[in-house]
Amino acid sequence: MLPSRSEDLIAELVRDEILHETAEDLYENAATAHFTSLLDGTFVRVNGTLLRWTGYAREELVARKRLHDLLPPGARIYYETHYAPLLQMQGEVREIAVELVRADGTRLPVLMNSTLVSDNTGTPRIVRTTAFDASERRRYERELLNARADAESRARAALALAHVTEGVVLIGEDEDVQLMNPAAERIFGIAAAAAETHPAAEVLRGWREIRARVTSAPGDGVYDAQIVPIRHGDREQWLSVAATRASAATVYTVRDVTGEHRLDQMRSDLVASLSHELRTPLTGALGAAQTLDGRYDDLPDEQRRLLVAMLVEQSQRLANVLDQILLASQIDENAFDPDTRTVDAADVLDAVVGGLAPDDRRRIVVEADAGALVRSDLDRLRQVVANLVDNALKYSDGAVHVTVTVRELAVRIAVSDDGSGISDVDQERVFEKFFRLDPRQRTGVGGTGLGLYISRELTQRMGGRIGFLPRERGTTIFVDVPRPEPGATER
Amino acid sequence: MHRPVDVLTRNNVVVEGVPRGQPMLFAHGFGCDQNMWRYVTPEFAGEYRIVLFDHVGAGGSDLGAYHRERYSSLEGYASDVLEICRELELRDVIFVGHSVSAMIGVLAAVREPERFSKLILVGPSPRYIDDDGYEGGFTREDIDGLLDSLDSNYLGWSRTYAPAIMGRADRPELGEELTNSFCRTDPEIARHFARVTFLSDNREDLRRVITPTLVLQCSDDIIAPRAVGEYVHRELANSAFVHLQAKGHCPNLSAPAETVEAIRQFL
Repeated sequence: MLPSRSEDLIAELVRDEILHETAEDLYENAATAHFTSLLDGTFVRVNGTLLRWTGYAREELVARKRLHDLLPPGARIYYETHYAPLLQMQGEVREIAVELVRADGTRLPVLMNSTLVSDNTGTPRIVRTTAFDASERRRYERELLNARADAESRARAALALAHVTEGVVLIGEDEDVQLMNPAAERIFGIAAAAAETHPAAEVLRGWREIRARVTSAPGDGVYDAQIVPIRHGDREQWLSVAATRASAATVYTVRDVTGEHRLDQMRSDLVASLSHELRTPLTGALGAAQTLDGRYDDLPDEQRRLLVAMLVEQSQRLANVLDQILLASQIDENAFDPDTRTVDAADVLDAVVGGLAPDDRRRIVVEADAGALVRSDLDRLRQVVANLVDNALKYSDGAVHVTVTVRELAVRIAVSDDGSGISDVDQERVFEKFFRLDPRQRTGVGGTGLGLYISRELTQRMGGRIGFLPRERGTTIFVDVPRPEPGATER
Repeated sequence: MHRPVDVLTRNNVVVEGVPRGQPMLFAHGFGCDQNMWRYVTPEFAGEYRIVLFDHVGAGGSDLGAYHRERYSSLEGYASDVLEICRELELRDVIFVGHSVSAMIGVLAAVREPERFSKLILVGPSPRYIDDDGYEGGFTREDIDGLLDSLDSNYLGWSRTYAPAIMGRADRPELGEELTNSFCRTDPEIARHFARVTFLSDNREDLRRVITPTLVLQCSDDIIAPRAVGEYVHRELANSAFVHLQAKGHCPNLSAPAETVEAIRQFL
C-alpha cells in the first residue's frame, strides 16, 4: 500500500472518531490481561480483559483475592518456589506458563510476564503483570510434550530391541528385510544396514529353509517355535524360529540353539555309549551265570572255573564303569579330596603295568628316570596313568611307550602310541565330559567318555597338568605331577 | 567402582567471610540455588565463615553427579551436606536451611549431631501432603499439578531462566556475571527433586533432633503454613519459634532485613 494512501486512511479513521483511543481504553480493553498486585499477590488493579477471561467481577478481585487464589494448588507451589524468587531477584520474570482458574472453575492457560515496580526510595512496592491467552499454544506444547514422551517411549523400545538376546527380524509383504536387531545381526552374520531393504532370501543365510518350515501366526497368535538346521560352509547352525504376522509385515523371533542342540546330541550319545558300556559286561556276566545255572552239573571243572572267572571279570568291568560315573559326579560336586603324599612315580607305573592283561603288558615299553618322587595321591595318580595307558592300548595296535622324566618342578609321565592320532580340534575337546572320539562306536572301541575328563580333573586338583605333545604320528599325552618341595619331610 | 568425588565442585561450594570464624552453612530450597541467600549472607560475612552450595542438579552443581538412586530420598541430599562439612572440616556448624533444605538439615543433624551447634529452619515442612490428623496443606493431586506445571514450563525453560534477566536498572547489585545462573535447574532433575521433596515424610525425624533449633515461620506461606511450622516447633525438643511479618515462602528474598534480624537474635 502506498504511503499517501495510508495517510488518507488514517485521516479517515480520525474523522470517524474510531482512532479516538485513550490510555484508559488501551489498558482496559487490551488484547492481553493486565493486573497490578501487591508483593503478596493481592490484586490492586485489574483490566477488563482479565475480568472477561476469568468471569470475575472487579470487586471480587481487587483487594479481595490474591494471584495465588486464581492458581491451581500445584501451580501455587510453582509460583512460590520459582516465580516469586525469580521476580524478587531479577525484578522481572517472563513467559511463565500457568493456568488461571476461572470463577466457574474452568481453567485458562496463560503465559505471564511480571515486572517489579519500586518507589522512589528503591523499595519494591507492586508487581505489574501481563497475561496472554495461551490456550492454543498450550495445546501445541502439550502435543510437543506428548511427542517427546512418545519419542522417549520409542527410544526405550529401541533399547529393549537392541539388547534383547533373541534375534528379531521384520520382513515386509514383499519379503524384504525391513528391520533387524543386533542379536539377529549376530545370528545371521550380516549387518542390519547391509540386509535392510534387500530380499530376505538373498541376504539372510538359510532363509529359504526358515520360510519352508516356519508358519507365521496371525496377529496376537503364537505358534510354537520351529527348530531349523542351517548349513553354511562346514558349519551347522540350529535356529529356533517363531513368526507372528503384524499389520503389513511379519516379525520373526530367532534364537541360535546350536549350543543346546549340541548338548542334546551329547545326551543321546551318552545314553548310547553308557548303555553299550554297561550292556557289554552285563551280557557277558549274565551269559556265564546262566550257563552255570542251567548246566552246572554237566560242565567239566575246567569249564566251570572259566565261567566263574568270566563272571568275576565282567562284573569287575561293570563295577569300574559305575565307579567312573560316581567319581565324575563326585568331582562335579567338589566332593573329591586328594590324599597327597610323597610317592615314587616308578611305583605308580609298576602298579599300572602289573594290572594289565598279559597281552597288553607285552606291548608296554617303559623308560623311567630313577628317583622320580612326586607329591600326589597314589591311588588317584595310578588311576590317571592307567587311563592314559588304556587309551593308548585301545586306539593303537603297536607298542606303547611310557616315559618318566624328572623335570625342574615336576615329574612328567608321557604315554605315546602310534595309532591314528587326534586332530588339534579334538585335542581341545577330549577332556570335555562325555566327549567321545567315536560316539556311535563304529570302530568298536568302547568307553564312557569320562576317562580323560576324570584324568584332567584329578590331575588339576592334585596341582598338576595334563596335555598333548606335538607328534608326527600317533599320540603323546602327558601328565606333569608336582615334585616334593625341597627339604619337605617324607611321610 | 565410583570415581573419586570432588565434593566442592560437585556442589559448587563457595566459601566467604571470616576464614577462621564459626561456619554458617546455607542451604537453598527447591526451585532455586545459592543465589537466594544473596541478601542475607553479607550481613553475617563480617563475623562468620559463610559456606554456600548448590544441591546437585541446581545452579552451578555438577549435573553429571546426579544419580537418581542417590537422590531418590532427602537422605542423599543430607549425605551431601555432611560430605561438604567433612571436606571443609566444619565443626560447630550453624546450618541455615530454606524450605526442603530445612528437613535436609534435620536429617544431617540427626546423623551427626556433634557437628552442628544450631539449626535455623526457614519455612520448614516435614510433610507436605495431608495425612490422617495432619494438615500439610496439599493433596497428592496437588503435587501432580506441580509436576504438570514443571512440564509446562519445560519448553520455555532456558528462555525463562536465562535471558529474562534484563532491564533491572533499579537493581544494579545483580551483576552481569549472574545473567545465566539464576535458579537454573535441569528440568528432569527438577521434576524428580519435586517428587522427592513433596512426597517425603520426615515427621519422625524431628523428634530425634537434639540440636538447638530456630523455626522461622512466614505469614501467608502456602507451602509451609503456620500450623505446619507450629507442628515442627512442637515436635522439636529444643526449638524457638519466630513468626515473621514477611509474606510468602521466601523471606530471605522478600524481607531479608527481618530474616537477618531474627537469625541474629537467635544466635
